[in-house]
Amino acid sequence: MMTYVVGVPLLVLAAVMQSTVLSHFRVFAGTLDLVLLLTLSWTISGDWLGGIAWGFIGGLCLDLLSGGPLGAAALGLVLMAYFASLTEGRFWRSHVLLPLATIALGTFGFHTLYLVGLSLSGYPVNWSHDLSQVTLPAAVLNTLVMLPVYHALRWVHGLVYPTPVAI
Amino acid sequence: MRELAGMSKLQTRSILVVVLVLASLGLLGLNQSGSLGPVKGALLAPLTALQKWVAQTWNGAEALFQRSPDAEALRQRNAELEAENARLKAQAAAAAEDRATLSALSQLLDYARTQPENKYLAANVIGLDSSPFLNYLILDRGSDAGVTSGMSVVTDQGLVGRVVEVTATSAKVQLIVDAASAVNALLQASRERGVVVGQLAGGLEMQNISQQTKLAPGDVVLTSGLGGRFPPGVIIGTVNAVQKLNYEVLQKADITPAVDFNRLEIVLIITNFTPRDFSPFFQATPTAPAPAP
Repeated sequence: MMTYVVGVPLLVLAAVMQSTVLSHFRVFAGTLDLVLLLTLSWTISGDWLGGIAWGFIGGLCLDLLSGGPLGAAALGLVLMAYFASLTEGRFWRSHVLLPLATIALGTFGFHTLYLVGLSLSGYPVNWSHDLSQVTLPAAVLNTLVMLPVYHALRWVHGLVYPTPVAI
Repeated sequence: MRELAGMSKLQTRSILVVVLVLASLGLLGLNQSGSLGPVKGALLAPLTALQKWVAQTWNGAEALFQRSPDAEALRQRNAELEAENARLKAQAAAAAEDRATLSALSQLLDYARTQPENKYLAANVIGLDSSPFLNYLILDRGSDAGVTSGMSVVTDQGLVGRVVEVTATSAKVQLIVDAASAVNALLQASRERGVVVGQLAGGLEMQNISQQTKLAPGDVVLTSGLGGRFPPGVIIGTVNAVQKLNYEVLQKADITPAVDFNRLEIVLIITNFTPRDFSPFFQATPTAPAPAP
């Protein structure tokens, strides 16, 4: 339950920020994927199921604020959160830089799935342009801000789900 | 989230993923059939209300930030006047924002006066598309203000796009630079027709221009009105470069949009232009009934 109490307002706000503010800051054609960052950070913080649910909720918010088909971003984020969750927390905590690899790969995976969704919906997709001019810069931007976002969410995760102490 | 009793963590996770993936695919399917309109409208209403507030706050903060270097120097030299200075700075930023809005509205009003045959509704841009692959705008006017799907959106500079989705309080506009956008166009000088399509990089390209047409950079491109989706005579942009290959039947031209899509704050929706639907003409002709024996 707490995952939704924390997640829903955060993801709604993040989707609105992504549409209203972050979309103005572009490197080539790429922008920061704040909802993807939050979803993956929450997942690898240790709330595996919650992370997947965050992906669906955040994806729906992004889809609603987009001209694209409803469900495309949700599908991409759910699958990315699921793949990130398969490795469990011990892996992520084994090295401080592993979250960076997660977001870099996650950006490529999410964008690829989103483009597949667009393509299936009849939207014209130029794969070479989209992956080089949008996805690659977005992956760099996302990687640059991943560590602070991840550590902030790990801190929140610690507050929401405190580690049990044996007495 | 706690795992369900009797199931391993992996099983629970796999079930959740399957359910959510199926839900997403279901939404994609329903979206294609166009039956999600009321649900999307209900879900979008609180999001656009929040978006409007964030957009207003952001515009105010941006104006404040742009004026801060002078104020910062003043603060350093006049520490005792810091509080007063900050208050004045905020007022000045608000006034600058008001002036910018007034200027934009004046330009739009001048434009509206030059096009008396059209009726306009001004709307604020409160968001861009959340996906970097798409070029849409979200406006703060919807069906409550009389906006309907298909209406054209312009500024004093030229054509912006068309409304593709409407809720009670907001509207989504597909920009002409969107890769899925196509506008029937006309070269003002030669009166030759073509189609202006959006490019993934955000620019425009005019296609299907006859090879015999003489094109030159700077030629003005207008909407032709063919197809009935946009009113005729609205400026789209100017020719930037010509792509002419002797072995091709048609030529193309890169178009510089008349509108700066990165700086849109207020737009005009043309409310009295009804898009025409020609789709019945392109449907298969019904076969004549067989004569009675």
